[in-house]
Amino acid sequence: MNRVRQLSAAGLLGLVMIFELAAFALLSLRDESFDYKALAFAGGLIAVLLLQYIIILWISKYADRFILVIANLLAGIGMIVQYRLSYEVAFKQLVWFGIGIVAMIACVLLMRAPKFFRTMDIPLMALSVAVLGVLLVVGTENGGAKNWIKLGGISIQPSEFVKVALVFVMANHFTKVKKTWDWLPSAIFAIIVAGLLVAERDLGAALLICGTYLIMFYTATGKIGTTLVGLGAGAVGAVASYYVFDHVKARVAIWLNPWATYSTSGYQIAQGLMAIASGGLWGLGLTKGLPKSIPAYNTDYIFAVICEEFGIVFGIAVIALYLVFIIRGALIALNARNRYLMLVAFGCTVLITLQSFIIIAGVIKLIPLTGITMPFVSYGGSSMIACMMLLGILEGISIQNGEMLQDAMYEAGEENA
Amino acid sequence: MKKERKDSTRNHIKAMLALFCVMFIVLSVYLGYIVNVYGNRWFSSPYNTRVANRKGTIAAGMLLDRNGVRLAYTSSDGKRKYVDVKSLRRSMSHVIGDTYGQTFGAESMFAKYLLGFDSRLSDEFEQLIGTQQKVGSSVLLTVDSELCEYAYGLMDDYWGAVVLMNYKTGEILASVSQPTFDPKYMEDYLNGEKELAASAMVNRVTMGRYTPGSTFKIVTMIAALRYLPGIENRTFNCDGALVFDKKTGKYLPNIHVDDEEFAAASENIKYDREQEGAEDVGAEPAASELYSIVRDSHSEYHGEIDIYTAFAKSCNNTFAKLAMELGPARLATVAKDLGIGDEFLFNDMLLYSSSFEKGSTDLEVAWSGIGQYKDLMTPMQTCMLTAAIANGGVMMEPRLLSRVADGNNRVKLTAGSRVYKTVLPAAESEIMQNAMFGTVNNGTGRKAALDNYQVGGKTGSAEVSSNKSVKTHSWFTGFVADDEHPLAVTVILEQAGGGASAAAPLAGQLLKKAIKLGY
Repeated sequence: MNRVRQLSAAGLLGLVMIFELAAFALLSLRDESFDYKALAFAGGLIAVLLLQYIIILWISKYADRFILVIANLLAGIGMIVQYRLSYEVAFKQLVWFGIGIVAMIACVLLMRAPKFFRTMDIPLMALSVAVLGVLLVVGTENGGAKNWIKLGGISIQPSEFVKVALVFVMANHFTKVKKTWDWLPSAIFAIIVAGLLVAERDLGAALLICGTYLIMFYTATGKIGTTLVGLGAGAVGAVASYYVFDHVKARVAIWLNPWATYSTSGYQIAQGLMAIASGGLWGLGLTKGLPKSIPAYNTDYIFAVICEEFGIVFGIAVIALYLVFIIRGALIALNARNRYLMLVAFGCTVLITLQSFIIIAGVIKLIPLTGITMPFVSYGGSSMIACMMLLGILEGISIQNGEMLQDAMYEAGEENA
Repeated sequence: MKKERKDSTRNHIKAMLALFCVMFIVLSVYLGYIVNVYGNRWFSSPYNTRVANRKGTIAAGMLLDRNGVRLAYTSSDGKRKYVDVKSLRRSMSHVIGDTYGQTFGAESMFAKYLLGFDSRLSDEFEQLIGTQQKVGSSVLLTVDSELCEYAYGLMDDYWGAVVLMNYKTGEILASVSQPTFDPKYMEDYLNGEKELAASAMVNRVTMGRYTPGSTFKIVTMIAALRYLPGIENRTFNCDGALVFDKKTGKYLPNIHVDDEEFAAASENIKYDREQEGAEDVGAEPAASELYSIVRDSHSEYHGEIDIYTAFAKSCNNTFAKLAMELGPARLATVAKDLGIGDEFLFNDMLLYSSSFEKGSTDLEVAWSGIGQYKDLMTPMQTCMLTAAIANGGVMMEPRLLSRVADGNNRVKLTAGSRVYKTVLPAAESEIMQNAMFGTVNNGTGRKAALDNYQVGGKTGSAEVSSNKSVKTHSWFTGFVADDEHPLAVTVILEQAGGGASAAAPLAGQLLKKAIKLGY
C-alpha cells in the first residue's frame, strides 16, 4: 500500500516536471530568437522542486508527498504565467518561492516542538494587532487597500502573516475550551483583526479571517447555535458595511452588472470575464491571449489569465488541484496526534480553502470580488511565503502522524513478541 | 472525555470537508455554466480588445449570404471591403455590422470564426509551416441578400424594421432596419466626415422596443382562450368608446361620449420623432377634463360580434373589455409564458427583451390589453411569437449563422435548428392560426393576402404619442400556412399610419417574393 503511494507521488512529480519543461519550451520559442533564459528558468524551477522534495523526504519519510507536489505544481503554473507576462516578475517570484521553501522547512522543523507556539499565544496576538494597527498609520496604499508596509525597499503585506498567527491562536484557545466562555478571547482577537483589516479596506482578508474563525469555531466547539449567531452577525455586518461604505456598495453594484460601469469600476470584472470567455474550453494557447488588458493580471486576477490561455478545462483542473490539497490537509488533521495539532492542521487547510474559493469565485462573478491572492499561484512575496509556511506546518504535522503510527506499530510488535 | 472531544472534532472536520467539496464543485460547475451560456456574448463584446488585436495578425474571413453572395471580405492589402452594390450594403448594414465595435452585426457576433479563434490544432500547424497569410474562417449567413434588398426597397424612406424567418428552422431570411448606414463608410461616420441619423446604428429588428399596438391582441386572445372558458361562443357588444374616470382610472360602463372631440383635444401636445430614438415611450389614452377613453380607430364600432370577428377587425372595445375581465395578473402570466420579458442569450444576435407591465387601474389594464400602456415589443420577438403560432406552438431560436468554412472551403461547422421553447399548446396555436386567417381573409389584414397561399396575420396601429394627430406606427405580423413555404414575417413602419394600409401590403409583397425565390 505504502509502496503504491510512493510510486504515484513520484510519478506525479515527473508529470509536473514534464509539464513545466513543455511550457517553458513553448515560451522559449515565442519570439523570433530562441529564448535561452526560459529554459534556464525551467531548469531552476525544476531544481528547486527536486531539491525540496529530497530535503523534505530526507527529514522524514512520513511527509505528505501529494500536498508538496500539488503546491509545487500550483506554484509552477503561477511561474509559467508570470514568465509569460514578464521575465523580471517571474524571476522575483522564483526568489520568493525559494525563500518560501526555507520558511516551509523551518516550519516543518518548528512543528517538532508544537509547545513553542502554545507559549507564544499572547505575543502572537499582541504582535498581530500591533502590526495591523501600525499599518493604519504608516501603511502604503496599493489597489485601494492600505495594507502594505515598506521595509528597506521591500513591500510586505503583514495581513498574510497575521493569518498564520491566527491559526495558532485559534488552535490554542479552542484546545483549552472547557467552560462556556473560554473561547471569548480568541473571538475578540479575530474581531479586532477583522475590524482593522476592514479599516484598511482589505475586505478580502477580513472576509477570510471571519470565515476561517467561524469554521474553526464550529469544528472545535460544535456549538451550531453560536456559530449561526456568528454567521448572522457577520451577515448583518456585511449588510451594514454595504450601507455605510460606498466602496462596498460599488463592489456589489459591479458584481451585479459589471458592464454598466465598464469604463470605470466594472472594467476589471468585465475584462476578466472577456478573458475567460475568449479562452473557451481549451484556451487560446500560451502567449496567444491578451491578458495584460486585465487589471491585477498577475496577482488577484491570475485565474482569468490561466483560463484565457489554458482554457476552462484547465481552470477546472486547477480548482480540482486545490480540492485535492484540501482533502489531504483535512486527512492530516484527522490523523493528528492530539486535538491541538488537529486544529492547527485544519486551520491551515481552512485558510487555503477559503482563500482560493474567495478569489476564484470573485473572478468568475459567483460572489462579489474582494481582492485577495490566489494561494501559491499569484505573484507576491508575502503571500507566497505565508502559503509555504502553511504547507510546512501541514507537513510537520503529517510527519508526526507518521511517527506516532510507527511507534504504535512498534509497540504492538513488542507486545506480540 | 478527551477522546470523546477529539472524536466529535473529527466528525466536524469531516462535515466541513464535505461542505468544501460542495463549494469547489459549485465553483467548477458555475465556471462551465457561465462560459457556456454567456461566453459568446462576452467574447463578442465590442470591448474585447482581443478581437481587435487579432485583426493585425490574421486576415478576417469572408462573410457570405446564404447563396454565397460575398458581403464582406479582406482584400490583399489587409483592408476590410464590402460588397460593391450600394443598396445591398445599406439594406444589409445591420446584419453585416462593422469592425469598429459600433454595432452588433455578424462582423462582431461571428468574430470568433472570422478571426480564426475557432482554429483547430491541425489548421494552426498547416499555417505554421505554410507561407501564406493566416486567414480566418468564412461565415455563411442564413439571410438572402436579394430579399433584404427587396424589403429595403419596399420600405421606401420609412424608418422601421422588417424581418422574415423560416418558422420551422428559425433561419432569418431577411432582416432590414431603417434608418441605416453604409458599412463601407464606418470610419467616416466616426470621425465626422459623413453625417448619420442619430439612431442609425441601432438595429431596430432586435433592439427597437416598440409599442406593439393591436398586434398585442394576439397575447390578450391567447390569455382569453386559456382563462375564459366558452369564450369562443360568447358575443360582445362593441357600442362605442369605453369611458374611464380620468383621475382614478375606473371603468364607467354607463357613460357614453362622443370620442371625436377627445382626439381633437390633444393636438397641442408636442412630439418629436427624432428625439424618441428606437424605444417608444408609450402614449396616454385620449382624455378630456373628466374622462379618459379607449376608442376604436376612426370611431368605427362593430356592434354585436364574436371574438374571432373582434380579432379580425381588431376591435379595441372588445379586447379592452377582455383585458379587464382577465385582469393584469393573468395577462402578465400569459405574456411571460410567451417569452415576453425573457432575457435572450442567443449566440447569433443581441436581442433586447420585450416587456409587459401590469396595469393597476381599469384604464391601465384595458390600455395594456390592446398593446398600449407600457407594452414594448421588439420586431424580432413579435416575429418569433407569430412563427411559434404557425409552428404549432414551438418557438424556434432565431438564427443568422448557417455554416462556417475554413480558408480552403472545407465546412467546419453547420449550425442546426434549436427549439427556444414551446410557448403554447398545439390546440391553442391552431385556434390562433384560424383567428389570424380571419384577419387576412376578411379583416384588417386583407392587403397581405396571397393568391395561392393562405396567409394569417394581425395588424397593428400603435399610438406613440398622446397627441392623437400624430400618425401611428404601422404593424403587420403574419405567416404563410404552407409546409413548403414556412414563412413568418413582421413589419413595422414608424408613423406610416394604420397597419392595414402600410405594413400589411408590404408584408404581402415580401412573402410573395420569398415564395417566388423558393423559400
